[in-house]
Amino acid sequence: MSAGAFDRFLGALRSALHIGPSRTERLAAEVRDHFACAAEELAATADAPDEIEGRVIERFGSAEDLAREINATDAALAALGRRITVRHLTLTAFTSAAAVTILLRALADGFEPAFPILLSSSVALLVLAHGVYAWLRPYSVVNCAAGPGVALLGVFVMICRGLFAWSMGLDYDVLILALGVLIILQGSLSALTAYDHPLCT
Amino acid sequence: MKGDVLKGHLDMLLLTVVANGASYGYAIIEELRRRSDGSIDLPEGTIYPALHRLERLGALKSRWVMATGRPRRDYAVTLTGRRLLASHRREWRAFTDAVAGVLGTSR
Repeated sequence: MSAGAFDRFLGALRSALHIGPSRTERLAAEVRDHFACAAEELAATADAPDEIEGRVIERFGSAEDLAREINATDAALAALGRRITVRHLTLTAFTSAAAVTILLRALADGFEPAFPILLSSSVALLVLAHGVYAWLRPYSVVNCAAGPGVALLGVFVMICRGLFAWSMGLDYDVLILALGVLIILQGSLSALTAYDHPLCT
Repeated sequence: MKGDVLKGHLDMLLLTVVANGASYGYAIIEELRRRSDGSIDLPEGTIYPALHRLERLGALKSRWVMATGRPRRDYAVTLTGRRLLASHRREWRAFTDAVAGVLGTSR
C-alpha cells in the first residue's frame, strides 16, 4: 500500500502545529498508528489502497482542524500555568519571607510568643510547608481544602494576637499583623487557584 | 449526533471508555461508536486534542507500547481522572433529571 496520502497528511499536520518538536512527533506517531489501524480494518472491504487512504483521512478530519485545536488547547493551558506560577511565586515569596523573619527572630532573640498559637514555630513552619506545597502542586485538589484552612489559621492568629494585646494592654505587633494578612492571602489564593482548575471541582 | 452537542460531554465519554479498557486512539473512537450504536460518529481526529488535554490536566496518563510492530500510545485513567469522571457523572445525572422534569418525562 502506498503511504503517499498519509505522509502528505502528516507533513501538513507537522507544519501546522506549534507545540514543540517532541510533542509534534508524538502526535504524528499517534495519528500514524490510527491511520494504520483504520486502513487495516478497511482493507477487507475497500477496493484500492488509494481509496482506503482517502476514506481513512475523510473519517479522521483535516490536518489543519486538528492542528488548530491542539494549538489552541496548548496555548490555553500554557496561559493558565503562567498565571498560576506568577501568583504563587509572588505570594509564597512574601509569606515565606515573613514566616522566616518570625522564625529567625525567635531563634536570635529567644523570642517567646506570649500565647503559643500566636506565632509559634509550628505555625510558621505549617504556613511555609503549605506555601511550598501549593507552589509545587498548584493543581492539587488538596489545595481546595488546605487553602481555606490556612486562610482561617491566618484569621485565627490575628484574632488571638489582637485579643491578647487588648487584654494585656499591649501594642499590636505590626509584624504579626502583616504575617496574618499574608497567611490569609496565601490560603485564599491557593484555594482560588485550585478552584480555577478544571479538575478541582 | 452532531459534534457541537457532544463537545461539552466529550471528556466524560472519553474517560468512561478509557476506564473501561479502550486504551489507544483508534480503539477509543471505535468503542464510542460501538457503545452508542453508531450515533456518536465524530471526525476521528477530534479525540486527540481532548486526550492530550486530559493528560496534561492529570486525568489520563500514557506511555508508548509496541503493538503489531509499531509504536502505540496507550492511555489509562489516573486517580484524578476517576474523581473527575465521578464529578461529570453527578453533573450529568442532575442535568438529565432537571431536563426530564421540565419535559414532564421523569419517572
